[in-house]
Amino acid sequence: MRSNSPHKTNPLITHSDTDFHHVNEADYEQAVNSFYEGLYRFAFSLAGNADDACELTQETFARLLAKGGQLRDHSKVKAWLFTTVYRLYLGWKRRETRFPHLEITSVENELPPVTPETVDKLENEAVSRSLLELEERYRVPLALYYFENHSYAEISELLNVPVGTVMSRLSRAKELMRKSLAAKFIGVERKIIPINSEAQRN
Amino acid sequence: MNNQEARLILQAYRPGGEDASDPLFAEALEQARRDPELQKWFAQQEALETRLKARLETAIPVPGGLKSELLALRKISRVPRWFQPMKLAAAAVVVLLLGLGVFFLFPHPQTQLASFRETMARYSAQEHEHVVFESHDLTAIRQWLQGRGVEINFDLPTALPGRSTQGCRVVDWNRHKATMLCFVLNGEHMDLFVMDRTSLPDTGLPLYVKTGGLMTATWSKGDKVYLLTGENKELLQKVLQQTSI
Repeated sequence: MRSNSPHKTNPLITHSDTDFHHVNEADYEQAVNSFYEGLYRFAFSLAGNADDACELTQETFARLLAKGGQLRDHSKVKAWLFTTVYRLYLGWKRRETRFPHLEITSVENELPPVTPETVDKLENEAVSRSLLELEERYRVPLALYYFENHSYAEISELLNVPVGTVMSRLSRAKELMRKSLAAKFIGVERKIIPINSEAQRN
Repeated sequence: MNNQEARLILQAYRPGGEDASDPLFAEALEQARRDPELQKWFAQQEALETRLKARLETAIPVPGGLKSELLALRKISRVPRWFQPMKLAAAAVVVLLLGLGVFFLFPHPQTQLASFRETMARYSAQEHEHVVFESHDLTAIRQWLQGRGVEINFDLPTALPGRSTQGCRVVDWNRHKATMLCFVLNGEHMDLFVMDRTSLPDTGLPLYVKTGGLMTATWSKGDKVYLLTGENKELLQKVLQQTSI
């Protein structure tokens, strides 16, 4: 079993083990019904594959069962789940970059604008890859924005970064994702450079 | 506020109007109402964001069995009534008096299950003396196991025919004996572990968890717990979907 890394304490949650008690079953079922799809998709955007996304989702809900009783405010379940899955992922993350980062260089200015029609014409894999290929600092807030409809304030609290940073990362993330979508649409993915190779060059 | 600043702020605006009353967006929204070019850009953004969100949800489908697996976790985690919050304070006193020893005597069912899963996955990954008794004959295997005092009245998944057995061994977990049967079916290696349920929870339907690089499926039937290991979830699901659990 992978271990969770120590991270900053979320003010929404009390972490004392002496507070330990279980969330009741009705609340748990409601949490599953309300959030499991968004949580899974967010986990997928972090891990990049279905097996790890399932494991992250299961582990997060197992922790909710075991420790969800610590939540003082039940309206914070959504924030707790997404914070927990993100921390679990960070705990796992001492590993290679799973997805090469896309570099669209010479054609950047030639890319067509992305429209709802363009998006409809792309394959599922191209759409998901356009998210998964983003650098993590852009991918995570954007995934939170798309899955379970997190507001900028919720993203700021969850990632513990200032609101201004969330705004600029969302803006940049959308710009990068659209370029990636446009490149996939016209088939001009020129050059894929794994981030490690790039680091070695520098 | 110029249009560039307004665009930066409006990129964080959620289509659907949930942020309409948020003061942070007020000035940028007002600017968009006044400036036709910005208004057009904003309308295009909202349409695109709505479509992108929907496409991403389609592009990342949620596995069909995930919800039932998550709901099944309740069953594993269920604790005795005396352990409910109202009585927790009294129980805490007892726990303090008994000390850490109690933890080892009555570990949480979920912790137990995780421990069982991890131990069996280690046996499954072990290459040296992977099986002790080699045979493709299930009857011979049952006789060998019976001679070692292990329960032999277990049900094999119907998709794992006896002839695909490679052999068996007896393994230990927390001083309990478990039977391990090794299979190779269509070139895929799988190990099935069977043990009396003892302190393990009644999980019912299979729970899929990746452990130590292997995918595991754990389920219970009657007084026995079964654990199947294999390369990936699809393989295990294929085997188990033909089995009534």
